[in-house]
Amino acid sequence: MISFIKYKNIFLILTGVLAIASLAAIGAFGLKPGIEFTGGSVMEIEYEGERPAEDAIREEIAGLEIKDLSLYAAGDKGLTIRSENLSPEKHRQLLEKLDKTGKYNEKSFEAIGPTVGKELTGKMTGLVLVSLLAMLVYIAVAFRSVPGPVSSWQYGAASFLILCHDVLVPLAVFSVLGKYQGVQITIPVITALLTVVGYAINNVIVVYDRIRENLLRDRKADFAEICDRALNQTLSRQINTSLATLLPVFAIYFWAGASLKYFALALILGVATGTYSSVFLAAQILVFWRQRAGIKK
Amino acid sequence: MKKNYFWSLVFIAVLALVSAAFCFPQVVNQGVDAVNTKLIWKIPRFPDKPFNLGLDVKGGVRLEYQADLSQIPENDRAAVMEGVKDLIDRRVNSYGVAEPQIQTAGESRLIVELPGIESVQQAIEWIGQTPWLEFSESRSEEETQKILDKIKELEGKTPEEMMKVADFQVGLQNPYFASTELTGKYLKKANLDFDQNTGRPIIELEFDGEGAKIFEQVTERNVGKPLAIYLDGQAIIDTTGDEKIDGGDLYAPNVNEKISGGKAVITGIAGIQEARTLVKRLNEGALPVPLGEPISQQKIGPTLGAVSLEQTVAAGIMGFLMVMIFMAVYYRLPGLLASLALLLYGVVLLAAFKLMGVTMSLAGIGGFILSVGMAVDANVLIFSRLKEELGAGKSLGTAIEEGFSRAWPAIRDGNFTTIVVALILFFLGTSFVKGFAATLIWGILLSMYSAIVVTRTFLRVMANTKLGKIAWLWKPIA
Repeated sequence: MISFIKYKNIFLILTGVLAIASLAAIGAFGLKPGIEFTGGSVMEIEYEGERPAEDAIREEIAGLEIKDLSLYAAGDKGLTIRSENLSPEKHRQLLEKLDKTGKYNEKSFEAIGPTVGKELTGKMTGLVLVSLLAMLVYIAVAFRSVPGPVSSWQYGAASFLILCHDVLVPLAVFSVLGKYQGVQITIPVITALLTVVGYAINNVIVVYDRIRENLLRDRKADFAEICDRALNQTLSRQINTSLATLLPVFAIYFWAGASLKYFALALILGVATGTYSSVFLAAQILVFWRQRAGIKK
Repeated sequence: MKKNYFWSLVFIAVLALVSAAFCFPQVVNQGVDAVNTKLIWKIPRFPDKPFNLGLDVKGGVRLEYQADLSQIPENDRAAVMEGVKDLIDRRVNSYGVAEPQIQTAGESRLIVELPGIESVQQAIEWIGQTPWLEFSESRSEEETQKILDKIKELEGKTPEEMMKVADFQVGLQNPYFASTELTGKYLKKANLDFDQNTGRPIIELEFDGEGAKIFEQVTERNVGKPLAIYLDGQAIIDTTGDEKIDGGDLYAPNVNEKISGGKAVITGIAGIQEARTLVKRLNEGALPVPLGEPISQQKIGPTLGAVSLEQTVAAGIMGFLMVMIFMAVYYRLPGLLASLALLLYGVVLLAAFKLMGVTMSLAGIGGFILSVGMAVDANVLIFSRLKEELGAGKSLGTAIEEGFSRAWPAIRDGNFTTIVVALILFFLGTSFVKGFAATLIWGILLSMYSAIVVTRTFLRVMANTKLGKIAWLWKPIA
């Protein structure tokens, strides 16, 4: 049996540091919302021959006075152009100007006006809040009658902390990627993170379910001992399920269409964090609280 | 083997075969065709229904509009939006767009999806045109003949050659009807009503002051003759019953008398459906709703769509294989059986998507691939219980049953939370989120069936064979 509880303070401190670092990263770099929230345009083109130099392209389209213009190289011949929300007329002019830089093919174009952006922001905020609320209600109901030394609201509070942690860490990674590679928080990324919420709750519940079962079977054992046993019993499940989930998600990340890439990345980060916290945090927090309460008495 | 297991196995096998045939009818039909050449009686071919692919994999243009309804009274808005939708549907159809999707959303939103269209500008131009409603009178016989002759002369010529023919413009006209001054501009509105005596639908037309005068003149010179109604240069409705509007269609009610006062009634309409369509289109021509510029535009090139689909399908296959190999290697025989169940799960789910016409967008396929990983969670939970029960010295048969019943609460709770999140995503989300959530929900439900019913049947059957005696086959690696 591996003793997970014995070194709980190390994990708790490590997690605390990680959480603070994540918050700091998000605070310092911020999160880059995608155009679906801010409004704007993204255009992907691919040159048939070699891609002209960025300066040459910029010079050619300078006359159009497009605001918030940024160009990103994509692969050998591809180019991604981000800008303000382009009207059909401006879009047409841009295509014409680009014709002069070389033969190319417009792979995709998306333009979102400010109204739609505002609407989607509201919609997604609502979505996140409702999901979190639903999870809270679920936890409260699921653990309303747990026997033993730790009260049911503590299970609930611990699950909620873990949930926040599991979303915070991937968000921090995205804030760093946003700073250095212009990666945005798009609807697919938020969708992935909400899925992670459901997934993380799953993992925690598997552990708490075992703790509850062990408590019912053996009422005399020490709580820390019970937790350790539960963690060992569930360890192979946690690792195997994560692996089984990560394998196809990695396949999406490496092989699937580009638009699913950051969706997959958010899932990878979330599943990895979720697995870590279910093994190294879920029970440890409970034991920590219990022992602290014991000292006070 | 006990009888009930036998029938479960038969059921599973039939389910798998039918689903697979439904997913890949081409393969089955090749086989059917090959057999049919050698047999006297013919086996019917399997229905070849295509997957309902999303715009992001088919390629095409998606536009969202905010209609300006400020001039429309509150009560009429829903009907007016229906009219706009109908008009655009009619128009894109006339340009030959296959399977356009036009939906209204909220009170004044219009979402137009045009698969296969490459130019956003082109699409915006089609949709943005102001509808053009006109009433045309019949031409004299000489005029008709003249135009028909010219048309004959122009037949088979390229546009360049046509330009050289004298008076070639004559041949481009409608040979039977000529425009009048009466257009949609003068029409105030059209109403659907019913004839008090016959109960048949009639349409009341109301023209404005100037329109009333023009209408009076037009009807005066056309008593006893038909007056054709055109929208965007084509017959206002389909009259040949082939569900498309082309040169063969003509809607031209007869003028019975000179009508003054600007109010007219069209009778002799075939059915209520036709009357409704007519009213919708007349009103759209009478009071065009400005759509303005789209509030969101999206275009996916056909190559990009095809490449994304290919890549994502490849990723799905890779994901599937990796999970299957992982399960079989780690859990040995039970893992292998779970892999088989997983394969069944994949095929049945794809068949279900096809059957229900679920739109397979990239997000949907992503949700499906993700669900493959989550699907084995139930098996992982069950197998770790199985290992514990075996470790406690129970017989294989008992261990299997105990393993399933003990793992059930955790499986139920775990899937429940994921479904709750997915349902919230489905009901509140945008189209990307909806597509993902829908496939995820179906995936989870079906995976529970696969993990619990199918795998259990396989395990029970296997436990009763000689393989059940080989202990190491049933032990996971760790």
